Amino acid sequence: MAKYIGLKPFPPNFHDRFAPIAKVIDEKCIGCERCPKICFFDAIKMKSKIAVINQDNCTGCGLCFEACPVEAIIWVQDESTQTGPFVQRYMVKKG
Amino acid sequence: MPTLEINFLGYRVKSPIFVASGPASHDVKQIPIAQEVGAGGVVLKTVVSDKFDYMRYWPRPRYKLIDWDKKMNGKSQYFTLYSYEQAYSGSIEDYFNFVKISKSISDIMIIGSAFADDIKDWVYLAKGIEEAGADAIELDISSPHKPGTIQFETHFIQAIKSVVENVKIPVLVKLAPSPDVLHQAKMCKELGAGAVTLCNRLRGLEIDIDSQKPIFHGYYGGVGGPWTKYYNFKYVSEVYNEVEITISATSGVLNWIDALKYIMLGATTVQLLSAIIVNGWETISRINEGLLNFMIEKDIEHLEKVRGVAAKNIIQPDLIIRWSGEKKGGPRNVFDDW
Repeated sequence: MAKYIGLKPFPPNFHDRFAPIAKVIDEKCIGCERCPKICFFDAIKMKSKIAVINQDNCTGCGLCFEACPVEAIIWVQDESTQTGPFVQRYMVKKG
Repeated sequence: MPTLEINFLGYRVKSPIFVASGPASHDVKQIPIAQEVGAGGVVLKTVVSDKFDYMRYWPRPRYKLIDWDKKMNGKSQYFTLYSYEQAYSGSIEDYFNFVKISKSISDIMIIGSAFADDIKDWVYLAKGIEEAGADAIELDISSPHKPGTIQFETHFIQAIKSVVENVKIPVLVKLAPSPDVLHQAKMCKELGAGAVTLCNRLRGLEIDIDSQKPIFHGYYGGVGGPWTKYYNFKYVSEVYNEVEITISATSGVLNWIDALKYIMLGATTVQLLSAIIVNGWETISRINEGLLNFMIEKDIEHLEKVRGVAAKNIIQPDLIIRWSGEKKGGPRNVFDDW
């Protein structure tokens, strides 16, 4: 699972315990500009031909992972998130 | 000079191409972009009633492109966007402000979108969206991420009815792809809805064989992609032929040809989202350009000329030309017997 959803550098249940956001490994980035185009949250800009992620805007949706052809984007912990994961159990009555 | 201008639910819109409800319409900053690339309107992200507060918190990650060839840089013709898209992340008041600001900073059509499971909430959301200045409202009764097991017959008929009675702006109903589409579209027409949106994404599931778990968050996700257009073409043509209701088609539009096919099958507007996600906002301007080029080439002044032309060419199965004296079925490729 970890490999499949792009959480490779972290334990598989990383996203259960920390809010994950994306980060670019500068050495691997080839400057193809696919990730800034796919991001809907205004979180990625190109700076001197390398993608830079604005951690305040990143919502961890995972689209840039899908766009990156060289696996230059990894998950890191979102340090701006103060609260824990939000889980709300709900029941919907039938009928 | 050919024009893409059309009449949609009483409004004149510059283009039949709309941005569908989703990540491309969750923020006011995206409205001017949509206007700039030439979208005729935007369906804003769905707002939910307070009962579904948990839907305002999004899991991470939420999107996976299956069978997407990264090397092709957006030229992939077939892929599946597997997503766990949730509701608008702010409060209901935020949403009304969102509609109000979106309307004030643009001159394209702004359609609010709502989901609830209680008549009171439906009416509250619909009235709020109307007061905030939206041009129309879409009832998202078919989201693949919709909570619960609420059925069309038991709840949504009542919901559509009360919303239509309580607002003056046109009401669109977004239907799910199912064998009931035609029946549901007829019901929508009877209940006074202005248009139907055909069709939403399907609820699907993808698992990982190593961990033996569903990918992402452990629940069903929404699936969609260019392959969905074939069954949606059928729904659009069916509804166009049998129900007198405006159709806003969506699902699987990748380029201007798909959009034109939807229009030829009877859709008035075409909504798209997956293509914007994978190929960028310019997809809309490319589609507009493609449509205009087609119209110039074929000398079509107005899209009204081609609306539904293909749907009328569908013939009944008993009129299909068949040949008598067909051979009996047998084993294949047994050439020794010749």
